[in-house]
Amino acid sequence: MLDIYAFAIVAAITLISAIFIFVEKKLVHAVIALSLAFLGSALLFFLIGQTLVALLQLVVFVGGFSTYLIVAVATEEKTAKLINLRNFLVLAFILSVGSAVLMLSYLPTANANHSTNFLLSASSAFQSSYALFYVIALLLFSVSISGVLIIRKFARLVV
Amino acid sequence: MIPLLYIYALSIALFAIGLAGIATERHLVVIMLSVELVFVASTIALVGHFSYGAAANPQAVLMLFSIFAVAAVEIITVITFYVYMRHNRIEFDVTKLSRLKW
Repeated sequence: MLDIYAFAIVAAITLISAIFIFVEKKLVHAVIALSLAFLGSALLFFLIGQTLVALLQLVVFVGGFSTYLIVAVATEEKTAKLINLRNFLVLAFILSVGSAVLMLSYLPTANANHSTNFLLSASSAFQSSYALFYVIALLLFSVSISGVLIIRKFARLVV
Repeated sequence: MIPLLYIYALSIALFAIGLAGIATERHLVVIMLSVELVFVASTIALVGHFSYGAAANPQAVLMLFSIFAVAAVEIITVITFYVYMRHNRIEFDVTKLSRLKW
């Protein structure tokens, strides 16, 4: 029962911070709200029992991406609101209800008592298709380098 | 133990918020942030699905790392766009974008 309460708190934090991305007036506040949503999802993985995925989410998303984004947009002045909040909330509600109805009709029969740490199969995944991991690494590397080159070419901020 | 239904419900709600943000928002960076939200929702659904019921599957790990990689690529793209547009004083309103070429 304690799990359910913890899940409710974590879900509330995640959903409220997700909505705050669109409510906040400053861009840096929106990014902080997004990092709170990342943190909420990491807590959720911890509650499910996937500690390794929670750690990955914390290190990669909260520690890496969020810090990177916050530093990038930290100098942004107050930005003009470019969203109709009423339309956003109505559309989010309709989409939630619609996709919930669609998804729940195809809900798989899951054994709720069985919990596996699915990252345990990471080594076999690496052995069976290690080329995909190299493709992912190459993709990240090439995008990083091209991002730096584009910024250097146009903005001349990186020397 | 948290029921799988609750995890799916949270994932659906996050996905819908992200999708509604993509559809209604006009600020380029916030649109990218809502795409990140959609990635988080899909990660939650994936991890929830493979934690309960489904047997440990190497494909799940591949899918998880693919989602992480695409999210990372998207963050780098956001920051590149942001610095470029900010420095060249291009408006972030996507409805007014007319010059984003080489």
